[in-house]
Amino acid sequence: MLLQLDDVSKSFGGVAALTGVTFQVNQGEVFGVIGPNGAGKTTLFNLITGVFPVSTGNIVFDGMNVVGIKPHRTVEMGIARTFQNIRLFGNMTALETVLTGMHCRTGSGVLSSFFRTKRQRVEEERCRGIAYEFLKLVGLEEDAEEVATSLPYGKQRRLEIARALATHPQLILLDEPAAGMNDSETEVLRQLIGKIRDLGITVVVIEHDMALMMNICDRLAVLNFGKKIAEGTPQEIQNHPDVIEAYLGKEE
Amino acid sequence: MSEILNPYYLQIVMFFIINAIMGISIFFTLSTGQLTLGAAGFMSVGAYVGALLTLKAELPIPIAIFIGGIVAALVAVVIGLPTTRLKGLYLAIATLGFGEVVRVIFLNLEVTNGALGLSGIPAIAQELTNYVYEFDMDGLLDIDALTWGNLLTIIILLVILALVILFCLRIHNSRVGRAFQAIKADDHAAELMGINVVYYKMLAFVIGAFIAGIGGGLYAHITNFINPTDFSYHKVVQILLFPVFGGSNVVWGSVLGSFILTLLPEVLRFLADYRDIIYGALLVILMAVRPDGILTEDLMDKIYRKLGVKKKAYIPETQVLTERFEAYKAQSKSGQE
Amino acid sequence: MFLQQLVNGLTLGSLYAVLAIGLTLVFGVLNIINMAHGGIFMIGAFVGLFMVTVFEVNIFVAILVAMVVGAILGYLLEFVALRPLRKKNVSHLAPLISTIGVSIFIESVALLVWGPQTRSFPPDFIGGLIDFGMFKISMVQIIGLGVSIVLMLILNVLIKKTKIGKAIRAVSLSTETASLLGINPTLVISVTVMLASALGSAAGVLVGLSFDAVEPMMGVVIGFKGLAVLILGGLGNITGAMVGGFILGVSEVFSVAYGASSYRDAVAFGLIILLLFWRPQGLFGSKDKGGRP
Repeated sequence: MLLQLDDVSKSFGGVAALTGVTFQVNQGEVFGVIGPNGAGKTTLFNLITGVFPVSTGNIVFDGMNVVGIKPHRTVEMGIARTFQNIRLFGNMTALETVLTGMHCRTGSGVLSSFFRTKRQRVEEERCRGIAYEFLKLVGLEEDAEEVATSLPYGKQRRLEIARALATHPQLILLDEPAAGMNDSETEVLRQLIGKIRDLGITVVVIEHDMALMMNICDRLAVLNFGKKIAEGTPQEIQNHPDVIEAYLGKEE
Repeated sequence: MSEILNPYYLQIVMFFIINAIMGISIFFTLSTGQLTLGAAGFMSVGAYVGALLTLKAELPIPIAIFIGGIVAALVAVVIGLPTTRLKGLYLAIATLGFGEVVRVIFLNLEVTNGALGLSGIPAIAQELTNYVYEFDMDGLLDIDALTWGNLLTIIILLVILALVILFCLRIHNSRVGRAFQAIKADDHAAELMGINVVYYKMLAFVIGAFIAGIGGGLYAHITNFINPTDFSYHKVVQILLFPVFGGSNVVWGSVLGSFILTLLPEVLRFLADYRDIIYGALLVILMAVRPDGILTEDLMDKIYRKLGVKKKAYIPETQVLTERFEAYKAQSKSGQE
Repeated sequence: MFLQQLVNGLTLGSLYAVLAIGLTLVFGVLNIINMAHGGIFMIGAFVGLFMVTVFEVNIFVAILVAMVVGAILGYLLEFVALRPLRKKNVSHLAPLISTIGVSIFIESVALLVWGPQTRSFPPDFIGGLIDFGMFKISMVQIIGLGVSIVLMLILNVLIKKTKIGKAIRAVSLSTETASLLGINPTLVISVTVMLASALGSAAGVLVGLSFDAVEPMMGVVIGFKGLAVLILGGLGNITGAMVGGFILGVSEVFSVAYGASSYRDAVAFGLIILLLFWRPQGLFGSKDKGGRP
């Protein structure tokens, strides 16, 4: 078990966003989180990555408690994420974007950069090589020198994944990676998630595309109004009465 | 020859270089997206500390200036602890306030001689002129000793400016520089990519202050005379204009900005009374036409390409991911058996 | 003594408040700091002075005329220096520099036309002192305090009750949403800048009258204090600007009265630095305003 949420609640100024959410994510699996808009899915990611502190409850990652830990430290611990609304860095090229992701796995500082020490040059070179590998993995090797924000939408999404992977995570959180993609782009994404898993990286994914989710996820949790209403394999979820009710409304 | 090299022109060149250094100090902090208006404050710290060390402690000028820069950086650490957590215009005004407080403190201290300021600060040019006599260079190439002193000062200033520019360029293309860029573009996303945003903001703030402190020390030992009004609100605005006018996203912008804005008042001198009116109007027009300043990143890219200096960075063949795939495959296979 | 200082402080504070409200209005709607505000303030002072000395009108008419001139200047400021920048997606630095350009322009024109000397109002233009025993208050102070309070009350009604006031508030919350609701943001922004400049102009006449000194550079130092009040109260918050103005006025007067006179000009910024340690968004500011770098 890699990630464990234990009775996690979060409220913003008295409004409950999440109430008593508990689930576990096992090493190496693709775990899906689904639910209607406003169910608290992105809040969940923000709690796991330390953007907000939890109100109550516990989040344990790889045996370490992540509650109260700053976001950049959670990345060092091995949690990476992408964003629902793409957040790439303005003027950087695709390659630089991925290099930035490797920040916490590298160490050269101001002085070694100024004096271009041997160690710094070796590190930079090696990083460029690895960054290029990540670009190849997501299929953007042709776009390495392109300015990130000028890329087409689908590529920007994949670049975000490459940047997240570059932090060398054990766990990657994908927030609606297929949003706004057409069918062929979604298919590329499906294969990419498979490759991420083949790297031994555990995936937690939020997505509205049910066909995709049922296809890629080993297990899913369903949130509605900040509460977990179901958890299980795709088959179990599809036949779960509470889930059907949450999505289709109660039958009269 | 002696006409071009008259002390007045040479002094303008010296001021241009110091202004460029000051502009870069703002640019450097701005490269993390932090607009600070404390440059004049840090400049005055560097100037006063440096001047006092040469005047009262009779330290050699370079050491005094360096210590001035260090003290400015230390002050920045103290000021920065709370202020670098501020965002946007709050930071701008808080640092502006810091400069104002520093100015008033210098105005009221005894050791800084209050409103009268410090005079008789050893001049770099004077020191160098002494060397000129020592090495018997007086009259060499028909240039008298005093002019040699000024020329050598300019050369030393240029070397310092070149080092500062080199520093910025090398940092820009490094791990630290990428962290700065990421923070500037989106500090929230930067933090979630494992960058310690508070640390890097502080780092840029402190380095910017150090550069400003050095600039202040140089200023004090060029003008030989400083007083608190040298570092007032007007100075802040003047310094801020260099990077913004020349281009606030590239280090060369500060250099170009200070070059134009230091020369312009001299060139417009014949317009006398209308000079500042034109200056003000020019700023408004420039912002309407080129809001990012004259030099932008795109333009610099084109220039670099024209000059053929931008080489595509070498990308070595690495096998890290392939190895990781195989390792994981092997591991899961052995797990299955 | 204490009460006297308090009265002096409140009078000074009311002037700071009127000045800062102009800055905060513009910030609220445009998210920029209007560095030309001090320049318009200075022009207002000159207009008021000339109305009194040349046309020999009473002070209230002079203030009114100054406000009209201020509004016209505000329109020009918006049209020349701000509107061209709104069309493109530019950094917040550009309008800052652009308004600095305008302030340099205004000040140097004033210097050219009127010269650097300090002018004063006619002797005994407004004389008289009312002695309440515990403290004294001069007619000039009464006018300053009175006009400021009346202006603030009018503004309050304008912002809270009228259609344009509601439009201004809507635009300051979100320009996009406001324009979707059929509000013309360009018009609202113009009106706001005009309103702010009229207030700045009025503050100019009142400050010129209070210190009996009008000169081309008077806008610089005071504009600076306006910034301090703006931060003190919280960017874009009108109530904050009012309260901040009074706090600054009172603390300045007290620092002078109780021995720290040479540090007077640092009081403003000492205050805001201390405040920002405790409340980074100012006294009345909301956390998300002004957060964009």
